[in-house]
Amino acid sequence: MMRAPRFSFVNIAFWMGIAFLYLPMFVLVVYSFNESRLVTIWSGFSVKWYAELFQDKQLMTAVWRSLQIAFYSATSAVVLAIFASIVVVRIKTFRTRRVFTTAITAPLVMPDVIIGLSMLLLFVAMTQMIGWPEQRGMTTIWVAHTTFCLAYSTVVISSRLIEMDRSIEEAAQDLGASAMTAFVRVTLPLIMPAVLAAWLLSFTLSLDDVVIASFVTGPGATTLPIEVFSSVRMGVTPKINALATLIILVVSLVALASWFISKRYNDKVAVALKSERS
Amino acid sequence: MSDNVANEASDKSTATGKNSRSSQEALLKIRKLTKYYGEALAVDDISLDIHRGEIFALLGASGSGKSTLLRMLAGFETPSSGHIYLHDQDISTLPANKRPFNMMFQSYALFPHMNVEKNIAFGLQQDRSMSKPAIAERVNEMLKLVHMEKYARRKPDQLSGGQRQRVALARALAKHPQLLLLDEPMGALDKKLRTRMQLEVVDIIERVGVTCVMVTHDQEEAMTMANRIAIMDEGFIQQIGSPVDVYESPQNRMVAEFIGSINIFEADIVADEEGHIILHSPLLDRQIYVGRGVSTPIDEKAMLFAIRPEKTFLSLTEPEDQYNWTRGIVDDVAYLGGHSVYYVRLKGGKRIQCVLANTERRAIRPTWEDEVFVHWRSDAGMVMRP
Repeated sequence: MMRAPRFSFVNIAFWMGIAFLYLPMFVLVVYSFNESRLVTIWSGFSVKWYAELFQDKQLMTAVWRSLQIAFYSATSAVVLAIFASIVVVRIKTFRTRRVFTTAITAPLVMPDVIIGLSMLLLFVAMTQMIGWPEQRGMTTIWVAHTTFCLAYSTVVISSRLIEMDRSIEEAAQDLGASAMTAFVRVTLPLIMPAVLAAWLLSFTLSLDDVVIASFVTGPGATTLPIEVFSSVRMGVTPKINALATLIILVVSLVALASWFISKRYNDKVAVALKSERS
Repeated sequence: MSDNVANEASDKSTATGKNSRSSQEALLKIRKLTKYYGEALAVDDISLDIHRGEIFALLGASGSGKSTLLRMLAGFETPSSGHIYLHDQDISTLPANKRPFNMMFQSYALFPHMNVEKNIAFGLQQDRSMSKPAIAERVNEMLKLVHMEKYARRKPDQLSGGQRQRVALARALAKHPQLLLLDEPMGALDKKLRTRMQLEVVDIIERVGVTCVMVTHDQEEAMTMANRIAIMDEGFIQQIGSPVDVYESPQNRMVAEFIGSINIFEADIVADEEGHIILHSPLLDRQIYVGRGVSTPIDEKAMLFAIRPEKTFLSLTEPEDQYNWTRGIVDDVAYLGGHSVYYVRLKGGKRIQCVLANTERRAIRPTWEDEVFVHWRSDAGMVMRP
């Protein structure tokens, strides 16, 4: 049998790729435990930046505010996206469906700067005309984020809904369920994985956004990315590294948990099918 | 009905042996039902009765309108015009969830996120008046009926095709529907399993005693399962009858060609006498003698003579009869084990099919390029209007 040489092209390419993706994060994590105030000079292990991070009121408020905005934006975007997806899937004529889909998903390809600017202009005009929003802040960020998260969520949810066998919902109605019951008890559970995926995606996008938020934010509503962005301009403190490390930790745990859950389910199916055959 | 001039009144009750339980009382009356999709006509002015207790098959190719008709019965489509009456009550516009009908879907449409038990219970739970223990009892009863007690906790993706079908059937029967609708019931199964499940499903339906309308494109399936078959084409019904009726006495060329294989010749009537008629076809060497009572006087001369491949005989020697045979060359032979299909080329170039049952293991049979004589009995063929 031939053995692949240790330094084959494929092996090297693989490890280079991994390094390209994860080395920056690795450096960031390592330096979060740096004693020194200077990010680029290692002077010993310490967790003091974590302690300082939790004492930094301004940063912690920004974290909390960003999490809130992300939660509300993701939730409202997903709810609207479910309705939009149903409409998209139900439209029978190809042309109308195409127009509607394009209209909903346009923000996907629109530069953030343009969305941010147009949102700002809209809010300003609305304030002048109807007096709402009185002041830009969390609410306006929430509205703006919902708009662009809606586009992403609709893509994710409608693709799952189109894939779904319509006759499953018809079966529920045939068995006496009203359209509403059929949706809640049959369709919704079946598209739930897509709904959750869309929610997580929206949550991340909202948490991540600097550009749109900078446009529509107001006094006293600085989100985490804006905070980080502006503090970096003053010079990076290892506090930011510590915060980033914590975020990476949380993301990894969520990914690991979802992998574990899906693996356990697949194993269960495999075992059941095996016992079937014997 | 007069289209078939040489039609025998076939005995419906003994023909299939399945008809005994169905009465002539109409459970469902379909009157002048029409459905347009935009400009396209899917179902064209159909009127028919479904009798209480029968298994009725709508048989047709795809696009024949059979599925649209079934979906209108289920309540998923509203008719463009016409009515559906259940016990003389118009239900044409009643939505699917208010109709006392249940459907077994083509792909079964089981709820993937619910186990077998919950799938069957779903319909019962929609009925607010039913208590939990009553539902559980009914679910167990249905599981027993389809022999799925052992699999009550399984999810649909942990079941085989045949088991899924049983669950789908149990789910559709759980609410005691007045009418059971089957959409291509065997469509998702492989050939071997299909034959077994056809009989099993009929057995269950008969045990429950429910009236059943099924849709299929598979004539074997329709003939195995149904008491009566409606042949549909281009939105309307070409013929309704027992499997024997539609096979042995097709009313027109479309039905004759749709069900099984058939050889059709254009023929002119040369003699029309008491008890028999004689036809002449330029493709056949001898004249055709049809020895069946002719019920209606025939004014037109040009007719069609049709004969099924298994009702012909092949021989290597020339028959002595005056009528009903022709000469030909064996063009192709398909040996299928139980029987062989011979493709015989006649002098005009037309190819006809003859079926020979292989009753002997290694008999001497005609082979490629042999000159053969195709002959048939005087009651084997049919005469139809063109």
